Order: sequence, then C-alpha cells, then structure tokens
Amino acid sequence: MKTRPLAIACLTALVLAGCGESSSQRQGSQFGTPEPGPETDFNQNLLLQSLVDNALIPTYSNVVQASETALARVTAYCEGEIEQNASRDESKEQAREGWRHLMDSWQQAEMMQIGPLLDNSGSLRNRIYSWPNTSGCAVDQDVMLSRQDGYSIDSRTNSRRGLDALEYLLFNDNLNHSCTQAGTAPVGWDGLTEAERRVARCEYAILVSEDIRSNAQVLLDAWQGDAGYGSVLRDAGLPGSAFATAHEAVNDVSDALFYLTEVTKDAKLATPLGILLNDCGVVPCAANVESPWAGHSLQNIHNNLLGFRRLLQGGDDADSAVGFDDYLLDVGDADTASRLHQDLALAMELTLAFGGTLAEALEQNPEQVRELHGQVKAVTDTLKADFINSLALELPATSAGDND
Amino acid sequence: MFKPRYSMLWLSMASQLALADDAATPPQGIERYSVIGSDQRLSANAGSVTLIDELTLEKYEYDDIARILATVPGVNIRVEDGYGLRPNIGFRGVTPERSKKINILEDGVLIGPAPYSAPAAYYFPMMSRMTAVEVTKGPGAIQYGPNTVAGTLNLVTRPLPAGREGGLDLSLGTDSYGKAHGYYGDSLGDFSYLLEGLHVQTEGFKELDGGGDTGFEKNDLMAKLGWDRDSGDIRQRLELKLAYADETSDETYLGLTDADFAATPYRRYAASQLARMDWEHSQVMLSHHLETDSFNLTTRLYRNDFERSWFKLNGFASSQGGQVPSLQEVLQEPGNELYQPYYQVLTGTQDSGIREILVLGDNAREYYSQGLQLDLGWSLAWGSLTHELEAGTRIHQDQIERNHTEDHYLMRSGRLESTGEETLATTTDREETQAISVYLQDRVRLGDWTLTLGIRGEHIEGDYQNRAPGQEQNWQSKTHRIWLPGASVFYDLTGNSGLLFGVHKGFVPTSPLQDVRIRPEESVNYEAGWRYASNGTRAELIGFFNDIENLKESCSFSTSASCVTQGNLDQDYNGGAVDIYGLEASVQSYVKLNGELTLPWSLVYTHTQGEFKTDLDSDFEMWGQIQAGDELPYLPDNVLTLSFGLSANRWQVSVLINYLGEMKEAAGEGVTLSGVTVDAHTLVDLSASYELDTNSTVYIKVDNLFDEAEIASRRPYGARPTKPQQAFLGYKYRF
Repeated sequence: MKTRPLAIACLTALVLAGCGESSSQRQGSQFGTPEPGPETDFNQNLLLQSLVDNALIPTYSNVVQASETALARVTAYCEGEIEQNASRDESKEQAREGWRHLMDSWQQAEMMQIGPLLDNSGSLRNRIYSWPNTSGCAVDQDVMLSRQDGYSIDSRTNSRRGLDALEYLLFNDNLNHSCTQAGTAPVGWDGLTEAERRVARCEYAILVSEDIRSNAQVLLDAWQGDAGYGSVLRDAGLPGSAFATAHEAVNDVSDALFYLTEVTKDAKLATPLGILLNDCGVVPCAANVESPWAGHSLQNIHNNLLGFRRLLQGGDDADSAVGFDDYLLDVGDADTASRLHQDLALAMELTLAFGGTLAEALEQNPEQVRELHGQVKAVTDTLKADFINSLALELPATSAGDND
Repeated sequence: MFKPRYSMLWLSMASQLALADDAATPPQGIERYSVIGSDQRLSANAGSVTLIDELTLEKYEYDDIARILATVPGVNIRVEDGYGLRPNIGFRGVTPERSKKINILEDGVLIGPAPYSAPAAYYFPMMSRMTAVEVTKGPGAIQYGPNTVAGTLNLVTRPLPAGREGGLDLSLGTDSYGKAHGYYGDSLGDFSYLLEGLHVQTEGFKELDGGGDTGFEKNDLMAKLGWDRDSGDIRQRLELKLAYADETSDETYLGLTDADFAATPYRRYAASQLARMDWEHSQVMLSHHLETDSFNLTTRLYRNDFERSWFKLNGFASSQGGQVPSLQEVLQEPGNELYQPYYQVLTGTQDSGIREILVLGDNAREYYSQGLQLDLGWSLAWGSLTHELEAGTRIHQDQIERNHTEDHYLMRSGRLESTGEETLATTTDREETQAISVYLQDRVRLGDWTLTLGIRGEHIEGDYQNRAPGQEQNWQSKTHRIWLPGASVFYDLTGNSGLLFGVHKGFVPTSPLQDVRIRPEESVNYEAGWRYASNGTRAELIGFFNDIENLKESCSFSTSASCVTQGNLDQDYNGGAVDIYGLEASVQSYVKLNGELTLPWSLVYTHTQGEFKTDLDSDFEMWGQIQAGDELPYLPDNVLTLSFGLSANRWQVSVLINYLGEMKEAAGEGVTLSGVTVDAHTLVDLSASYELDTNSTVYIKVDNLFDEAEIASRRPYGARPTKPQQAFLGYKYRF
C-alpha cells in the first residue's frame, strides 16, 4: 500500500525522538564557576582547620572575653554614677577603654563574617554591631523605654543595641537627646535632671552590654562543638558535608576577605573622602566616619587589617598556621602572597601614623587619608585579581561590578 | 480539496468591508487562513485552536492583548501596566512572565526581539492594526518553535486588498487618550499595495507625585507591495512588507504599598518620575507563495530590528555600605523602622541620605532576528485515504546586545537629582543564536477518523560573550539538538461533534548564557476532549495535562528578583518536576430574537491546577522554599469570561464580563511575597456601535464599566492597578 512509507516515516520519527536529544558546550576560562581548584596536593581541609582553630574561633572568643570585661566596667561605672561616686569619671574612662578593647576585637571579627554571622541576612552580626545603621535618637528613646516594665532589648531593632549604641551611651557627653524630628523625642527625657540622665544612659548601657555579651556567646557557641560551624568547615567535602568540596568552603572564607574592599576601603575611607558620595557631596566629610563619638575609626581600620592578616596567614603565628598565603605558595604564586603581606603591612603602618582621629585628618590633612585609601586599595586590587585567579576562587557577586 | 495552512496569512483575501457587511456569512478571508474554518464547520484538529477574527476584534476595539485573550480558554495572564504595553502571557499554566514561553508570530514569522537568545517579549505589536489573532495549543504547537511547551500566538496584519480599499478610525477617550488609524490600498493589474498608519497616545491614568505624564505615545507604519502571477494551474504571489514602530512611555516597575493602594490606587511615587521606555522596531519581510490545487509552498525572508532604552528605578544603594533593603521589602513593610526612611524617600516626603541613594538603571539593548522560512502543504488522496502533508524548515539567527548602566540619584524636595557620580556599566554582553528547525506533519483521514502525526527538530547553536573590558575569556558556545514528536487523533461522532486526543513533547530552550547544567524546560503534554459545531453554535471541552520534567525560570527585573542585585541577571533557575492540569470549556452561540435582533453570547471557562512535584529551596523570588504539592504562582484556579450582546442591522451592543480567580504571588515560603495573593476580581467592559451609513460607523466603549480598582499583581515592585474605568468615543469610515 502506498501510504505505508509515510506511516513508517512518522513512526520512525517518533521512535527517534525518544533518544534524539544532545547538547555540548565550550567555555572560556572566565565563564561561570571557576574550574575546580588548581591541580596541587595542597590539603585545603588543613587550611580550613587552621582557619577555624587559629583564626576564626580565637577571634570570636576574644570578642566574648572583651564583652565580659566591657560589661563589668560599664556596670562598675554605672554604680559610681548612681552613687555619685567621686571617681566616676575615672570609672567612665575605664568603661570607655573596655568599649575600645571590645571594638578592636569585634573589628577583627567583622572581617570574618562567615556562616552564623551571615545567616538570616546577618541578623546576629547586626545585633552585635549594626553600623552603618545607627541612630542616637533611637538609643535615647530606648533609654527611657527600658525604664518601663516589660521592656525587653531582645525585641528591639538593631540600631538601639550593639556596639554602636554602647558607643553613643559612653562617649556622647551631650545630655540632650538626639531626636530632631517632631514626635520622636524620648518621653520623659526633658523632665530628668542631668544626673538622672547620666544614670538613665548608664543603666541602659548595662542592658546593651549584657546583650552584646549574650550575642557574642551565641556566636562562639555556634562555632564550637561537634555540631558547630567550625566542624562544618573543617569537614567540608567529606561524606555528609554541606559542602560538595573543600574548595567551596575555602571560597566562603575568601568571600569574607572582601569586607576589606566593600566596607573598609569604600564605606570607611572612600565615602568620607568624597570618592564616593557622602553627606557633604563628593568632598571630604568628617560626618561620615565610623565610630564618630569615640573617634575610633582609624583603630577600626587597623583591626580590620589585622583580621585580614589573620585569615591570610591562617592564624597569628605565620610559621605554624596554614593560611591562604601557604595555598598561594603551593600553587606557585609566591609573588601574590608576598605582595599581599607587604601592602598589608604598609597599610597598617599608615593607620598608626595619624596624629589624631580620622575625622580630624579629613578636615586637616585629607591627603594622608587618600594615601591610606590607596594602600588599602593596593591590597584589594591584588585580592580581586591575582589572589582569586591563582586559587581559582569565585569573586563575590557584590564585588563583581564596582567601579574600580 | 486542499485547504491552506492557517499561517499562510498573506494570501489574497476578501475585502474587510465585505467582512463587516455580512456578519452572518463566514468571512472568506478569515476562513482561508484559519485552521478552525468557519463557525459552521467541525474542525478535525486535536488541540485547541482559537481564531479571533476582525469582527470580534472590532467589537471591543481593544488595544490590550490581555483583554482580547480573555475570550480564549487556557490563557493565563499577569497584568502589569494596565495598558498591555508589555504583556505577560502563558498558555495552559506555563509561566506568563514576559510571554517568554510561548511563540509570538506576526504574519507567521517570529516577531519577538530575539526569540532564541532572549525570549522575553519586550516588544509586542500594536493590536489595533491586527485583523485576526490565532491561538494554537496542544499537538499543533510543534509546527511552531522553538517553544512547544505551551503554544503559539499568531497576530495577523491587514492583507493586501483585492481592489481599492481604505479606512479611517479616529477615537478620543479619558486620560487624553487619542487614536488615529488609517489605511489605504489598491490593486493595479497584477500589482497591489497597502499603506497603514497608526498613532495611539494617552497621558496615562496614574497620578505621579509632583505631577507629570504616566502615559505613552506609540506609532506604527506599515507598507505592503504585492505582485500576483497566475499561469495555468499555478498561482503565485510575491509580497514585500515594510514596517516601523516606536514607543515612548513614561512607564515604571514601581508600584505601591497595599495601604497606599487602598487609599489611592492610581498614585505613582515620586521616585518613578524619570522612568521612561523608548524603543524602535523595524521589520522587512519578503514572501513568495506558490500554489496549485493540491500543493503550496511559502517562502519568507525576514529581518526584525529592535532597539530600546528603559530608564527606571532599580533599587537603593548606600555609599556607606550596610544592608540595603529591596524595593519589594520596603513596599511590603513600609512601617518597619528599618524600611521607613526608604519608603519616605520613595514617596518624596524625605530627602535621601547617603544610605538611601536611588539607583536608576538604563537597560539599553539592541536586538535583531532574521531568517529564511519555508512551509509547504501537499494534499494527496488514495482511495478512501487522504493525506494532508505539511512540512517546513527555518534557518534563523538572532542576537541581543546588552549595554546596561546605572546612575545614582538623590531625592531632594520631591525631585530626583543626580549625585554627579560616574555612570556605572552593569551588564555588557552579547548572546547570539543560530537555529535550524524542521517539521513534518501528516494528517491522514479515513472515514470518521483523522490521525495526525508530526515531528519537529531544533538544532540550536548559541554563543555568549561578556563584552566588558577584561572579560574576553568570559564566553560560552553551546549546541543543543532535540526532536519533538506529536500525535493526535480525532473521531467524528455525528458530523457535527467529535472526540479528540493528543500528545506532544514540550520544549523551551535555554539561552546561550546558561550553563548546560541549567536544563531546558521539557514536558509531555496530553489532552483529550470533545468538540461540537452546528448551526452557529460551537462548543469545546478539553482536558489537558502537562507533565513538566523541569520547570525553568529566569532572573529579571520584572520578577523583582533579588538575584538581580546579586549579579545574576538573566540567570535561569531549575524548578524540578511540575504537573499542570486543567479543563478548558467554551461555548458560543446566538439567539435570534426576531427578524432584526440577534443575541450572540459566549462563555469561556478555564480551570487550572499547577503544583511542584518535589521539595525545592530556591533563591528565585517567585519560588522560595517549596514543598511538594505547593501551587504555582500567578496561576488562577478559575477564569471565566461571559460575553453577550444585542445586534441589529445597523447597531450592536456588547458586554464582556471577565472573572479572574485568586493567584499566589509566590509559590513557597521565605521570600518577600510568601503568602501574599492577588485577590479574585471581576471586570466588565461595554461597547456599542452604530452604522451611520454604509461607510461610516460611530462607536463607544467603556472599559472597566464599574470602575473597580483591583490589584493586578505586586510585581515587579509593589501593588499595581488594573486599568480604571475609561470611556472612548470613535468614528470609523471605510470604503
């Protein structure tokens, strides 16, 4: 029958269709996810172990210890304030010093935002330190609200707690509240005497200090123990791990290093310098520095760099620890490792060379701040190019499109 | 007898005047390019094929394809701007997002800017100049690629006239709406020509904080030249079509908070004051058609160019670092202490600080789409067996070049002011595709049985190149080849009713940018139903089941996806297995009230269920954390359209009532719009016309008769309204 060939053709086509699919691709070296790590016998799990045991957990542990010291000093200061003790100025300075020490520890931890600190859009990090989301007015409001029954700092927004709130409470000597918009003034504040205002602020400072200590402990607990995130990182790539490979976990840690680009270089230096837009336009602007009440901006940057170095070398002891610099040496890129260390050391030297605060330098000698910015940029330029390429790591998406 | 394929659209047709004059007689022109044929005849196609002819289009004078498709079963639409400037159309439950999973054709060729490389339909032809709309679903979809998972929408432009013919349509409406539409054509011996122009404008129905237009201006020009040659049994036509269109619209992705929508649904925030879409589109198509009584061959050579610039609010930035909420987050929780400053900046009630910098992006893109397409039909008969063989091939190439940039602005006293910072290049790349496709279909008739077997092949070669400086090695070349079979059977029960069954393979390719780990969307689609046609009454009941192996979605600004700010623009996502099933029912008829009065009516109903078959934890904003059994977003369970009217010799009145069921804004938990729904709503449109004489008609229409203010959706950013009540008065002259 003449129609048979057509029917056979159609049926054959249908049968072919069942197995008739194929695809292939070729890619350039910069496309998509980098190739699996460089061919080397470097043990990335040893790197992760060193990072966890010698850099990350010790840093978080330092924050816990510093938060306990700060709480004790704030409590002591407040007792003196309540009792109108003659030595309360001295104890207040002790409390401030406690805050500085805690902030130094935390600024190293800021460089180490990995795992629990990133969960839920960084909620734990923001409870401990919410900069740049800060508000003196919001803190003043809670100074008064905390005196009411049923107040719980746990349920309050991040700008009312944490290290930034504590800085405002300890370092702001102006006893007027900071609320300028109509209807936002803390209820009852104007009826307090100056002494009562000091007591109110210091009592709230105790609450804030307790909250910081509590959250710092939550952070440390999240990293410690068999179920802690430290174990998750150490065992990356092993059977049952959340990471398919150890290299993925290494990439997570390297993502954290980019804090130096996005926050230290840009938010802490480029913005107040006017390289990026600030409240004054595109000119130096002292109003946009970090830690303005304590004048602690340069120390913060210095400790960011210390935190970066701790991750780079896998701990404080460069000889015994296994760090990213060892990984670079193993893949044959000693130049990048050496350049990172040199530029880092120069940047740290520059932070120590200022005679005053960053705000003062912006007003009196912005060139010195530009020099520091340039030196930090030297580190981040190497990080974004040679470091990433040599170790076949992926650039964080947030760093991929900036104007460098 | 040979019946031409419906996509052979440009065949010479009867004059439109003839169509208008005799509504009771099936229009010959329509019949020649419709698979449905006339209303009086029972179609032997498996699958739903719907034709909306010029008479129906003129009845409501819609500019918006979404309102036109309300009369087609199995169509799911997400309304966005209210005017249908950038429609989101899906069939049988597939994602409507930017209509990227259906094929959109104009006169039988792909009309999307780059249908393979970037299928999102940011260009959509103006409906006012179309003379027919055809929707094909089911196994018939394999004749049209590349997307076969859902179906094809074919828009038919005005054909070349057989004699001198012309027309003018002038309309004025609320919100300073104006339309001027004219055409003129004639035939001179073997030659014929047609010129057509269309201009539509409005100041828009939204009220911008601080004042300003929210409407658009669109222009459309088309010229056709034809040459006919008949020699013996062979008839030929050569036709050249030239078309140009442009649009300038003050359109934005920014909507409102729910509270603001409840108070002032047509408000637009100050932050959207600089939003503007500006595009130009051009088309050149050369067609040749040859036919005998049993054979025809159509060759089309086509080229479409599209260039656009869309300046609009993308989000916030902070030069001080820290977390910056998305626009969707701010609009969902404007009272949240963290989001309140951003809300106040959006509304212009507070000036920006350096943590509330407004980011405006210009997603400038250039596209082209070109190819050569051959379609042939051949009727054969041996004894009691007849074959209608159809085959075709298409060699196609398309490309998109993205030159996206962003600029920073500050809100100052309710006005946007540039920060003076340098423009930032964001996405600079190119995607290009070369595709060869073939199809073969044979319809065999034996007695009451009609068996249709078909297969489509797609060979797709895609190239991606990141064009940013230093990204020379950021490229990909990939090849994908697939065969897509389809089969259907129709059994004629009584001569005016029959049963149908069909199955075909669905496919949506991935763009050249996607890694091969992102699989194409593939499915097996089934349908079964019953069809009836007799004495002016048509009815159809079709059940469908789409067994999707891997649902695919992509990251875009229009989905308000956070992936955009994470550098994943245009990245595709795998959604795993999904089942979509439902029922399409339609019936249309008329009641002769007396010698003059007729009451035409129709009822179209679609029930659709779509659910994920596996658990999924996705970053994609429309999905989130999904448990097996969760429903698909933007897929209403029930859609019902009732239309009825009264018509006499010189006048007609028509009412269209469209009910759209509740829709989820997101499928799973953990994303901004989790648990949020678009409420069910009903819109009523009214139209009427009166023939002053044989050449002149006046018409009025009122869209959204009861002025219901409904939320169309909360994407891209915030609640956006359906079109409010709008009234139009028009005059038509034809000769």
